[in-house]
Amino acid sequence: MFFNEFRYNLLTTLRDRHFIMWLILFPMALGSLFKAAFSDIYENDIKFSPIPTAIVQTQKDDIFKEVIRSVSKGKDALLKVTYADSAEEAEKLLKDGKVAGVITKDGTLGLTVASNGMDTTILKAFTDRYLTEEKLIKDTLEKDPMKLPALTAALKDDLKTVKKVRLTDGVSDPYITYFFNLLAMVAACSSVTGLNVVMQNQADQSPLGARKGCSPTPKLISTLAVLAGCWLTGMMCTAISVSFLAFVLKVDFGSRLGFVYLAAMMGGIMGTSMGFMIGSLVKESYEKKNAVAMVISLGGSFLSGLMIADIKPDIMEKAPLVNALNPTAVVCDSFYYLNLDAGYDRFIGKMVTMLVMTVLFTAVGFIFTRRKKYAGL
Amino acid sequence: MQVFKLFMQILKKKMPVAMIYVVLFMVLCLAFTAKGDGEMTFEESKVSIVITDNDNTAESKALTEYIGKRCRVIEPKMSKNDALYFNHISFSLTVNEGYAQKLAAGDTDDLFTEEYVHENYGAAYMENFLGEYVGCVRAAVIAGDDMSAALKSAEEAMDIDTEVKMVSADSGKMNGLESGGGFFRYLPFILISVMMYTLSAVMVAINKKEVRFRTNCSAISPVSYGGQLVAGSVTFVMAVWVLFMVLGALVRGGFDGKGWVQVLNSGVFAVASALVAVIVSLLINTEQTINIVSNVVGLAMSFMCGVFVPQSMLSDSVLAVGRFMPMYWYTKANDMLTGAELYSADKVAECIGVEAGFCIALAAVALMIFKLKVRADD
Amino acid sequence: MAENVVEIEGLVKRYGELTALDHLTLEIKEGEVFGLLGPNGSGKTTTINCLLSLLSYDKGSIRIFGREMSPTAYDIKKDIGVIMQNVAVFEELTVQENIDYFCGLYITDKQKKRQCVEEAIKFVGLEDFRKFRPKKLSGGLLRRLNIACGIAHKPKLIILDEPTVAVDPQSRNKILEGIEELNRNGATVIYTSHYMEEVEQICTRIAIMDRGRKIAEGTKEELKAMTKNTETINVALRELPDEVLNEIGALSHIYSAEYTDGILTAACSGGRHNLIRVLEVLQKHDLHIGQVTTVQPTLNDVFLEITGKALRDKED
Repeated sequence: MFFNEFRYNLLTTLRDRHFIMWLILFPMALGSLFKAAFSDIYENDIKFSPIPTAIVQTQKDDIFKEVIRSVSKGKDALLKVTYADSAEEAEKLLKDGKVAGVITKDGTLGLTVASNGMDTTILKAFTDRYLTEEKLIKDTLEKDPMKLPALTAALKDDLKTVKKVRLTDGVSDPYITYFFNLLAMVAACSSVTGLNVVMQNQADQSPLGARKGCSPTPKLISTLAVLAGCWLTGMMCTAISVSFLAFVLKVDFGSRLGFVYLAAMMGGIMGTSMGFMIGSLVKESYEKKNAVAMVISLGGSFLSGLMIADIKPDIMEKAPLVNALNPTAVVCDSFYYLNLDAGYDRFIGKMVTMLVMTVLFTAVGFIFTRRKKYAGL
Repeated sequence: MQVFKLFMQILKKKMPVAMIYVVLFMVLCLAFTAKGDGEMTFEESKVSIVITDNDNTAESKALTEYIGKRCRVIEPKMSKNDALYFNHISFSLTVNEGYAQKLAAGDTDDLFTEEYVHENYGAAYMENFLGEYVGCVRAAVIAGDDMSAALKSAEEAMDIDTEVKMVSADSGKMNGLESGGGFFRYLPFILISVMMYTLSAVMVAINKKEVRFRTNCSAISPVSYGGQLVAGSVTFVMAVWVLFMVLGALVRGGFDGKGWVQVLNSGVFAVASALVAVIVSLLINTEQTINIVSNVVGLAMSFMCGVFVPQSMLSDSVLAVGRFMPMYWYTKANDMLTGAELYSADKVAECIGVEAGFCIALAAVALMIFKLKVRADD
Repeated sequence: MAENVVEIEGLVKRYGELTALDHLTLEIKEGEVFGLLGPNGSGKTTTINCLLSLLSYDKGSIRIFGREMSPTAYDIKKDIGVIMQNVAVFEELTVQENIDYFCGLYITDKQKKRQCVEEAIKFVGLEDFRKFRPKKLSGGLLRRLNIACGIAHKPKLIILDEPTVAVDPQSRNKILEGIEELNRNGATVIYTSHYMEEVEQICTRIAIMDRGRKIAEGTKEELKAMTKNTETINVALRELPDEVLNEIGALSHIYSAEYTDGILTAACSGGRHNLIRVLEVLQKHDLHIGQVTTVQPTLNDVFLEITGKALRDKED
């Protein structure tokens, strides 16, 4: 009896072309878009790269020239320098967006920028530093000129004051979070399959439900079977999404792809169960159930940072409980911890959360669908 | 007007479901607005930094105090890893034990430890800053100052500011990273989603094969039928749009000059989004899938047209595709109106004009699909 | 005396103010084809849904096969076949798969199930449509599929709720013959409909329901005996003077006589030689007599007479 239900549930779900198509095509479409939109952002905008700068030097100043040369060469260059002959020319470069700032050296040092971002702040830091050192030299010259050579020598030293320790071996591109969120959304959208558990098995929801209600197959068994079928579908959809992202779009999920699959499939199961619960709680039409499922998936995705990435750290900081209880965020975080952490502690924590949520959702679903007789059909 | 009336009657029946979505998107809209605020003014970027002082000496305290003046020192509740990963903090600094001793001895190696997750501008800034500070102190010591005087003169020297001149530029690319913030920035996603979710329910009911066939047998022409549907949709959309504008007025405390242009911009876009919704629900008419489709279309468009991620950050190829969507032009106009891009009245008018053009084209497409669909057996 | 398969006693079902079933009592014996007749909204489907324990009810008791019926009475459900008014099949499954699925709800033995499915397909004549999906089936074929899904497991009690709605005459005949065959093979059948001819054709006993109450019950002969009309005489006449019409109307056993559109219609109640006596009157006045027919009362007449002629759909 269980197997009969299970088998035919899978068959009907797999043949529901529209439905499956969209649960699979949806992540593919959005994933491709993310890939196209974000592939360069990290390299271009977040990861530090030498800042294009125009230099206008009206006075001969060898020290300045030497300093500029030293900061614009080598692997760790700070600036990418273009020399301009006049202030007008440099300003044109700036206005055309070819450079982020113009450094002018005529007596004092001046900086011209068109906006105020991190890159221009760094430019300013650079010019500030130049001025600082200039002041130190001037002060020393006044106080004790004899010390000047020692001072300039000291200033010339290339200091290695900072020891850098990378906290993770994971993929550092923060835009990968969009893909994590995308997978989390697929998991949440699996809730639509979960709604069908209720639609198909409740006599007051559909003729099929009424028909099933007349059969000698106990409702618990048929509900379990359909739920299991939906779980399998949810797992399949998320697994296909992971495969597509990892192998077709070549999104770098780090070295633990197997666990990514595991988390994604667990997410699919949780999402399906959530749908089962929603279907059982919202007593009215399919439309309303669907609307509530969408509100929860979409709202959850928003809070998890699918639309605006910055919302996630805000929530984590200001309302950690929301982040911990938002099913979409839980799925998203499981991928994230898998990527970021060396150990598995936090990942396991999220997996356990998913498991607990699944059990909870399923239990609620069963409690609210336990009715076998209806006041009206 | 029979079809128009039908549309309104069915709409009335679907109102409860529609209102669920309207309320959801209103809440989202407020959340977006709250999140997006404060991005409109240009401020000097301050690096967010978390400091651990393992040395705990007068020297290290002087340093952390001074950093406090130049940076935003925060203590995140979330783990340091997470905070760094999500750019909640840009730099995690540890003042290593023995900082003061080493500094006095003139040994500058590994005074600090920086924990990082990915390379970013903030870190580059801080490395430069620390190098400068230590360099200055060391130089001052070498020049004969004692430690406390050296610290002081280093700070003094570092307080010198470069005179910075701002010019406005044409290119958005260099104009910071952010798009215009505020209520109108995320509105296109909200509008197009709300239209698709609510309209589709009505359209699915109207487009049932049997009903369609029957209507087709009547004396009404497909163009008139489709036209009335479009008219109904646009009427509904305008009502929803007015609701959102009222919400916007409440959030912003009314509209001013450019604000009204933003209102106009969003109004034209609302019509376009209604037409997109009509087309989508003409093409896909099963209830189960329409929500997922709405989801994809809404999110995809918003990402491609620079609603979520600013246009200035998107690759040219994505923007090239985005140009074929009304949302792109909405965002472009809105970016200019909010100052994220150089404002030009002509260009704003041009953008709104393009959106209006899209409306006409979309309406034509909707009618064409409808004419084809009238006879389709599906 | 055959055993009672179904015993419904004092069943009351209310939807708020509306009383859908008003102290309904029915007994259905083994081997019967029991017709549940009534206008739309009379409570037929509600009765069926209560019988199947899908609906809760306010009062009364329901026993099937001598045992109390409940949602978890799986041993009872095992022997019931249901054909619902609304076609309940999966759009995504083929004809064969649908039957196999529903059969699988009742029968777990694979061998036996396969055999049952095969027989059900043959029984409803869907051999050529095994691989078809429901969408591709015509209305009649779809109804036949619906029936096959309900009877594949060879139930002892078959409940058909208006199974022939929107079905072409060929399919309808096939369905009715099938029901008779199932009955011959030993199944007890409950059949609801508002098509009189169908009920008249196949049912051995009939209950007429109206406004949630049983207003008549019996064999079709017994029911027909309940109306005063025994036969109706129709005579085509070129003309019929009023005094002649009055004379016919005054004959004993004739309770109504009308002349419209060249036809004399005389309704009789009991008596013998009514036709001859009418013709004698006509002959006496030397009227030219055209076609003459006499019509026995149908269940339709009984039904309309008992339930009244008002349109019922308003109450649905």
